[in-house]
Amino acid sequence: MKILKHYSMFGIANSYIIGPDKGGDAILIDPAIMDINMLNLIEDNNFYIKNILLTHSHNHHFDALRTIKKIYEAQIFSFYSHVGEFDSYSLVDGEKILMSGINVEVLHIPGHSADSLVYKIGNLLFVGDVISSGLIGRTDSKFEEEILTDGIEEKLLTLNDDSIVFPGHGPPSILKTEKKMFNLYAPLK
Amino acid sequence: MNNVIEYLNSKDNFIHDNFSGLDLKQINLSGKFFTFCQFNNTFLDNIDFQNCRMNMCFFNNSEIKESIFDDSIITDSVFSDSKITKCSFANCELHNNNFNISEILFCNFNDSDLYLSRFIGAFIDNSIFNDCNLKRVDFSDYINNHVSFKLSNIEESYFTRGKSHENS
Repeated sequence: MKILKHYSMFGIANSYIIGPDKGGDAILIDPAIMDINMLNLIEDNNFYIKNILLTHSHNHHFDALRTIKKIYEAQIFSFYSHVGEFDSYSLVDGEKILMSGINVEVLHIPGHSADSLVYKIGNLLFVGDVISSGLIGRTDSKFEEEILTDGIEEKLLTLNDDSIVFPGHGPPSILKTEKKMFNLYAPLK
Repeated sequence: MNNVIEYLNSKDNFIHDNFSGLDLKQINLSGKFFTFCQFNNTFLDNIDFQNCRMNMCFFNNSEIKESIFDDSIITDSVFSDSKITKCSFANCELHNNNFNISEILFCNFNDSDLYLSRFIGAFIDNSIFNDCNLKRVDFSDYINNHVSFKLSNIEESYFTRGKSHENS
C-alpha cells in the first residue's frame, strides 16, 4: 500500500492518497486543492480516485471536490449526507467499510467541528483537525474544547502506541508521542 | 545485524522498510533514498546520511548521535521524543518535520529550510539555526539554552502555543 501526501497552500492543509503499490483504485482523503502536483501524484502512480474521505467539512479540506468529481467517478464519504453541492455517504462512529481493497474504520470525534471524523486504516490514523502533532484542534468555545479533549482521550489515545498519525495540518506523528504531549499540554483538563 | 548492514549497503532506494529497534554504528548511507521507512526506537551512532532523500520517515523515540544529514531533503518525517546529539542538518530541505519534545544538543541546522517544521516542547541546547528559513516553524513551549538564530527569519516562526494552528 502506498501513502502519498499532497500539500495545499490553501489553508496550509494536507491531503493524502492511499492506494495499491502497483496502482489502481485509490482513496483520496481531504482533497484541499486540485493543482498540477495533485494530478501528477495521482496519475504518475497509476491511481484512479474511486473513494473520497472527508475528515470534516471545512472548505480548505474539500475545495478540490468540484474538479476531482469532473475527472473521476468517485464516491464521497463524510459525516453528513451532503458536502457542498455533492451527495455523500453518511458515516457513523464505529462503522467499518472496505473501499479500494482497504479496510477503513471510522471514529467520530467532534469538537473542532461537529462532523469531525478520524479514519483508521491498519495502524495509520488520518485525524483531520482533531489533533495535529502536539496540538489539539482549534475550538470556538470551552464546551467544544471539553467535548474534543474527552473524545481524544476516549477514542484516540486508547489506540495502539505505534499508530502513525497523519493530520490535516502539519507533520505526521506517532501516537505515543501525541499521548505524552496531550498529557503535558492538554488545555484545562 | 550483519544482514541489516549488508541490506542497507546493497540498495539505494528503500521503501516501507522497518529498521526499528536496531543499534546501528558507523555506516555510510549517503545518497540513499528512504520512503516511509521506520527507524523508531533505534540507536544511531555516527551514521552518514549526507545527500539523502527521506520522505515520511520515522525516527521517533530514538537516540541519534554524531550523525550527518547535510545537504539532504527530508520531508514529512518524524524525529520527535528523541535525543539528537552532535548531529548536523546543514544546508538541508527540512519541510514539515516533527521534532516535538526532543532533546536537541550541540546540533547544526545552518542554511536549512525548515518550513512548517515543529519543535513544540523541545529542549534545544547549544545548537545553531543560522541563516535558516524558519517560516511557519513552531517553537512554542521549547526550552533553549545557547541557541543561535542569526540571519534567520524568526519573526515568521511561532513562539506562542497554538499559533501554527490558526489556519485550521
